[in-house]
Amino acid sequence: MAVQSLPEDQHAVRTVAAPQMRRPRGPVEPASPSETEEVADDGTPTQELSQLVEHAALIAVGVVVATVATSSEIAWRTLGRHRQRGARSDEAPLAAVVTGAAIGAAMEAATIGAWALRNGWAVARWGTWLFPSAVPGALVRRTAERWNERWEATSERSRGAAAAFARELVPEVIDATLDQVDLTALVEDRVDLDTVVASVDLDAVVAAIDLDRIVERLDVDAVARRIDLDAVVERLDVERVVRRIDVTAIAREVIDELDLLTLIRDSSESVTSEAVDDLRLGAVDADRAVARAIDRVLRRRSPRTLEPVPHDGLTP
Amino acid sequence: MNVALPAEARAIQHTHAGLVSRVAAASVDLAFVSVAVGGVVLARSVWRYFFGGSNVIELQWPSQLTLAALGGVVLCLYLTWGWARTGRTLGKRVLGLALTRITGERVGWPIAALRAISYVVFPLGLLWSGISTSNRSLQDLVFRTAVVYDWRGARRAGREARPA
Repeated sequence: MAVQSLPEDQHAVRTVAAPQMRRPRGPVEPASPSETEEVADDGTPTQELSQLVEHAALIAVGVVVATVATSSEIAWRTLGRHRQRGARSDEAPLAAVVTGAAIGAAMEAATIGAWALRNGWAVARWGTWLFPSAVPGALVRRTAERWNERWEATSERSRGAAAAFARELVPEVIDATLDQVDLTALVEDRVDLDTVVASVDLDAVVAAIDLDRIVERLDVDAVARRIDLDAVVERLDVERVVRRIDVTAIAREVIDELDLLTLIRDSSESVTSEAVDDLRLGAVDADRAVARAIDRVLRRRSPRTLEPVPHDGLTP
Repeated sequence: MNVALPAEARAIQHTHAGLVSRVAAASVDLAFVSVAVGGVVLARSVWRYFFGGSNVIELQWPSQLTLAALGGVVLCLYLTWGWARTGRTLGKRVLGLALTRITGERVGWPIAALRAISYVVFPLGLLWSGISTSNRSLQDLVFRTAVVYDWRGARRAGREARPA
C-alpha cells in the first residue's frame, strides 16, 4: 500500500502523534482556574498549544491524504491496473508521492499556524495590557462555561447515539473485513501453532473429559455398520501379521492344553477296540456255529438257552 | 474313552461263552506261557554260555519231564493269578471273556488255584463246554464257576483302579 512506502520521518511523526490523540473516556471536564493559572504562569501555553496544533494538523492531513491515496490505489487495483512487474524499483508510486507531498504541505501549514498563534497570543497580551476593558475575560469564561454545560447536557445522548451507530456499524465492518481475509492462511502465516499447542496442558484437558459419558452417548452399532470391513481386510497385510505370530509357541501351548498323549492313546485305543470287537464277534459267531453243529450231531431239538450270569458290578 | 458296544454284542454280555471263544482264549494263554517258558529256557542257556562253560546258545532243557513240569507250574501260577485277581487272563482279556462264580462273584484264590491245576492236569475238560447245553466245562461244573462274555469289564475295571 502507499502508506507503507512513506518516508521514515513521516512514520516517526505518526508514531509521536498517536499518544497525544488519546481521548479521555469520560466527558471533558473544563480546566479548573488553578490549572489554568498554572499553565499561564509557567509562560509556555503558547508553545504547547502551537505544538498541539501542529501535530493535530499533521495527523489530520496525513490521515486524509493517506486515506485518499489508499483509496485511489485500491480503485486502480479494482480497475485491473496493477503496477507492472518490470517497473523501476526506485520509482516511487504516485500515491506515495502524493501522500508525502500532502504531509509536507501539512507541516508547512502547521508551522505557519503555530507561528500565527504565538504572535497572535503576544498581540493579545499586549492588547490586554494596553486596553484592559477591551478583552472581557469574564465574558469569555461565561461563554465557555455555557458551552460546556450544553455539551454536558447533550453528551450522554450523543454518546448513546454514537454507541448505537457503532453497534450497527461495527458488525457490518467486521463482516466485510473478514470476507476479504483468509483467516486460515492468516493463522498459518502469523501464528506459531506449535508454540500454542505446546502451551496447552493436554493432560488437564483430557482429565476434564468424561469419556464414560461420551461412550454412553455413542451408538457403536451404527458406527460398526458404517465400517466397510471388506475394504479394511483388503488393506490388511495378512502375510506380515502371520509372520509376526510365533506359531511354534502357539502349537506347543495347544499341544500342552490338549494333552496329546491322552488323545493319541484314546484314539489308538478306539482303533484297537474296533479290531478286537471284530475278532470277538467272529469268535461269537463261531461259538454259535459250533454249538449248532454239535447240537445237530447230538440231535438236540431245542436250541441252547444261555441265561446271563448275575454280575451287579462284582464281575471285573 | 468309552467305546460303545456293537449292537449285536450287547445281548450276549454276561452269558456263558461258547467253545470257540474259550479255546481261543486258552490258546492265547498257552502261547503266552509257552513264550514265557521259552524265555526261561533261553535265559538258562545264555547264563550257561557266559558263566557255565557252554559254547553255544540253544533252546534245550535237560529233561522233557522237568520242562513239562516247569510249564505246568508256570501255567498254574499264571491262570491262578489272572482268575483270582480280575477273573481274566491274557487270553480271556483278548477274547472279552471273564471267569466268575456261578453267582456272579469273583473267584477266590483257592478256587482259582484248584481250577488251574485241574486244567493243567485235564485240559480236555474244556471241551465239555461245547457239549454242555449251558456252555460249561467240567471244571466249571466242579468248581461252580462260569466263563461269560464281558467285553468292557476289563476297561471298566482299569478305569476304576486308575487314580482320579
